Amino acid sequence: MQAQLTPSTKRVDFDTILKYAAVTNDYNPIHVDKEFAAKSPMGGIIAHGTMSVALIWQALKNTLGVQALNRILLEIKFVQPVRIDDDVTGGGELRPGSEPPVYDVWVRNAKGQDVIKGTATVKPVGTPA
Amino acid sequence: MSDGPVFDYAHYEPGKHYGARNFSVDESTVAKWRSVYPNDDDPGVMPAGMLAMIVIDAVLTLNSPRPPGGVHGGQTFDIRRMPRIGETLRTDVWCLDKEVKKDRKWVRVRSETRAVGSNELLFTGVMTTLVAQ
Repeated sequence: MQAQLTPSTKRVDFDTILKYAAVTNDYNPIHVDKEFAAKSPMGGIIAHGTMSVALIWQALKNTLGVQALNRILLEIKFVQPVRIDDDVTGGGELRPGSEPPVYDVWVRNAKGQDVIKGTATVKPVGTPA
Repeated sequence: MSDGPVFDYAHYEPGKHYGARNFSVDESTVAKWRSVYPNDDDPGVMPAGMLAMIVIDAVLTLNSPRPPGGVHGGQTFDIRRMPRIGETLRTDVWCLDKEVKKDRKWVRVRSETRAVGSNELLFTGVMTTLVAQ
């Protein structure tokens, strides 16, 4: 099994956030209303947290193949928000000796800070959910 | 959005079932997704990034109305089979548990998503939320 996941990167501009809001029907003003967000404790627009989770799935698919996704247990925590015009990258590293294989997965912003952290376990074939 | 009680911390009951929500994995929805994520172009299978969308749509719809200020803290996805384009899914939602830690109110909600018709279990999950009230 590959030691490093092939990373996946996305630029999170405001247009992308608005498109994501339309796809998910999540128009929480913290994501789409600049005036509201500026007055909020966040101090400005933040992207939907789940927007970045997609990058971990892409990294897993890029590395292990789409069929392997049928055997993944993904457990993640949202660490900090993603701001407009940030570049975020999803990736991960295989824990040596782990059985079943476990990847420490993450999404990081352009400063290299974790915005999402967690694990992806590649379950043996036939494991019930 | 329902006119029922507000889903604040006190309202959640561990073990309680809050209903089910259907989601159609149709071509137009997948096309909208792919307009944001062009690399999610595998034929026949739903993009995995949409798993979160399905769970959150169900939880936010079934656990409404909610007080403002809640924060999505974490999420798990346990996959048995990825949904296929063209399937209709049904997601059931329960309160798993809740606790106050260091003055913060945490609620965990469990979900099970099945294929409508066959009732095949496709994936399960736990969503952790920091509730403001």
